[in-house]
Amino acid sequence: MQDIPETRASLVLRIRDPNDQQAWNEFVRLYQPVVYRVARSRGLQEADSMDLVQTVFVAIAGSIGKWSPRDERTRFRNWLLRVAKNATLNALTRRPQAQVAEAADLLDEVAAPDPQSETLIELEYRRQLFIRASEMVRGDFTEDTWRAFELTAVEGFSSEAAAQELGKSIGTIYAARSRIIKRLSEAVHNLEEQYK
Amino acid sequence: MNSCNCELRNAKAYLEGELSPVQEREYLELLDSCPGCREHLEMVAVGDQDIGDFRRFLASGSRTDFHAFNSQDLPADESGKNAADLPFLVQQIVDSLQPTDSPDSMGRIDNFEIKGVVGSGAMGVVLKAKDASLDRIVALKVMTPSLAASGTARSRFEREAKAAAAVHHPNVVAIHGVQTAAKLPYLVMPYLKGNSLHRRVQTQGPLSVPEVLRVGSQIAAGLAAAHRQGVVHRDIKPSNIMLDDGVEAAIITDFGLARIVDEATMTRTGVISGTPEFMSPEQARGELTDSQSDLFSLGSLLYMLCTGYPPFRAETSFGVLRRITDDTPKPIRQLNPEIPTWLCTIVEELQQKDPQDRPSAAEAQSTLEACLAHVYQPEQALLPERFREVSPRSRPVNFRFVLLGTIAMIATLTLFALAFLNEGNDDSSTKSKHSPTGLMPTTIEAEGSQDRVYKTMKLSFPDEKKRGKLIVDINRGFIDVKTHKSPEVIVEVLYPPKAKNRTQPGALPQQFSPSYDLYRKKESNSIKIDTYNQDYPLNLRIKVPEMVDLDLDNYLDGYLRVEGVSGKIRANSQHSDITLKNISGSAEGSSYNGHIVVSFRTLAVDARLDFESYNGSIDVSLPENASLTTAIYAGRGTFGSIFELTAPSPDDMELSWLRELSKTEYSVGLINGGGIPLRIECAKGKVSLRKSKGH
Repeated sequence: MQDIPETRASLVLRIRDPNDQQAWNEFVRLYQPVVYRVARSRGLQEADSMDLVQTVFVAIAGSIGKWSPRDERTRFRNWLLRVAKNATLNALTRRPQAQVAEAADLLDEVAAPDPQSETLIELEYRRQLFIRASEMVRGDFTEDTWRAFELTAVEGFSSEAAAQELGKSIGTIYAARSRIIKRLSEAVHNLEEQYK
Repeated sequence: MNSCNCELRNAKAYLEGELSPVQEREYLELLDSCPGCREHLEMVAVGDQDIGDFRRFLASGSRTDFHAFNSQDLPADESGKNAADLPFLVQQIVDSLQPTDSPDSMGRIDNFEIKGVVGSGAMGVVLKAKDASLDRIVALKVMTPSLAASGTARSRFEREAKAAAAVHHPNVVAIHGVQTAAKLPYLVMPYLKGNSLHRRVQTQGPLSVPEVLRVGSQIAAGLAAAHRQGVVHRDIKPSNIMLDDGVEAAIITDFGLARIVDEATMTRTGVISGTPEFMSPEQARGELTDSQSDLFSLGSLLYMLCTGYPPFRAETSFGVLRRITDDTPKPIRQLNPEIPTWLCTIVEELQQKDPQDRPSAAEAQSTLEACLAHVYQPEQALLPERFREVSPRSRPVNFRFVLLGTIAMIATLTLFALAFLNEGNDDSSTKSKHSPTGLMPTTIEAEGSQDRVYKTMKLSFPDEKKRGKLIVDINRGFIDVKTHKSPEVIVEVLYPPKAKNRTQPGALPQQFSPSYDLYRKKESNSIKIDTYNQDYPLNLRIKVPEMVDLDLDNYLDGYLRVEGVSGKIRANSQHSDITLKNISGSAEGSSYNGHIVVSFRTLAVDARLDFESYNGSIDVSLPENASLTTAIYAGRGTFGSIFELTAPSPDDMELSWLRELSKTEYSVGLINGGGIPLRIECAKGKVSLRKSKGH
């Protein structure tokens, strides 16, 4: 997933508060893959998915002027999250008839009810929280510690197998995996809170 | 665990990093020797997190993009299967792919490079693939592993697929190849762009008469070709008909295949996996079926194209089956008066309970084609003779125009009358009554803040633009928007604000600037209000004479109240309650989380009522003398469950949701009354519809 420069450029014009800019940048990083994966899951091709991501984010960026900048950061993020979800749903349901619909249109209406896309968006959002959290905490652990976590918690190997694979004692495997699980859970929770 | 106390606090201290290096070393040794301590550690670390989430979300397989599924292919939800489970099925199949060298490919099946997942259904997953040997894009329908494990299903699949492959017809999907020796048997078909007929009806509602005839005659033609070869489809339904992009040809897919699933699962569990709504009575009874079964299903399909709803609806699959065998569907014209009688007759003939009484596919095809020709050229092509006496003023097209014309006239008269009433009732409009072209420039009057009314603003729109923009700076509170017959809008901002659902009651938030874009469309004289700030409650109360279009998408709370609309109102909100009071005309409203309360003063002749709420309740009051013939309930749920409407007696209009249904679309329930379609949708909560005591 590459970034989409146009979105960022138009954004800088709209967001004057540096804190909001920061929030936006983080949001883009978090949510673009969500929109992309949802689009792909809905059967769109790579290029079409990228287009859809772009349309959605241009729409959100375009609506930022309507957000009152004087409120707390968390509220801005929550607003972003909800607008993005709506825009994604609209973009998905309007395809392909209105593929060239104005980006701003995506924010106009109550999103067409599309339970499966909604479920997908929720799922992919949650997945992204985990991915983002693991990117954030990974640097704090050694390669072996992380591997112990991955082998057992992610790849489903038994602790014994992981101990053998890594040449560690079983207690070490448990210790490593538990520390990471705790950190990751906290990180996911914190990310989630930011958007509430 | 012998000598160990397995204290939880050790685990906590370790995870919090509170142990000294020595203690930590000791604790790690303890972990090596004591399973109890390991369990404690795990328990503390995991907390209330779902441990499975790490695997679910971080596993490399799960991060790829293989979660596609198609709504129309989903089985009905009685099975308790939910959408989130489906990617697993897709994943299973994707996991079984052979490795590939091609970088933009997900994997390989024999000579096919897999490019993506098109959808998944009960029988299998449809993959988009490139046929390497012929360099063309195809669709592969791959059997699910669970089904592939059944020998009977495999051999049925082989037999049916080979038979279907022998049918060559533009309205039947071609089968390029069948591979049954593979671990997962699959079919090779052309990759069709476009939507299914199901999706078409879902998104656009009933089709027009010519479209019904066109699609119907094409399906009949495809069936006729198949039946000539002795191939029976067994699962004709809108989701199995594709409308090819561009040419809009109806193409029948899944010949003989879909019901293999039922036969495999029914024998095991006695449960039907797919929707039985389009089954024939003989299928419903589990009897042997022949090609005439497809004709009944075609009848049910045409019924749905005409009305937007399948003919037999009930709370459960078994209820549907019973209705198919025992009941006659509600007359089409009660649901859609635009359908000519002769078309209803065609559908009824197809839906005869006795297979022998139904026309053959070829007969149906020629009837539908003749009618289609008639609709296009009423003078040159007469209706088939037997339909001519049925309706003396038989030209459907002309009849329709007459009918519409009459309705339009009555509606216009009604509007005039109501507009007059409105003026009489509403003294605040007197000022502008005599200046319908009162083209004042925009004025804003501020009144001293008294107890409640803080500011009154009057806004007029210059005639040439008929559009104005009003920006109101307020603290939290009400905004009361009133418009009148004249092009004038009065906005009142009331003060002090009401603290509603706030953590600090009464605390005034910082100022904010919602902007309301009020304008009148030239043609419709409508008012549209767009609001964006969602952070404070917005309470709108609006009085408008003709048409209003409101969107409160982003508001978290607050409410929307509209009074006295005599034309058409559409009100949507995500979280706000909507109250439409004393209105006369048509109304549509949707709220995801809010409650909807609507009371009509009078119902227009052609009123359309359409309400949806996903988590709230809907309460509709009709005028005392209103007569409703038909009410259709269609529920679509997002998060919650759908409740179903009971069939009430015509005298008692009290309705209530009775039963929880599952997440997928569902429609059921009728009430009797007087010609006005009513659609109410609710996912969770209750709906009541009653006659009001009048106003």
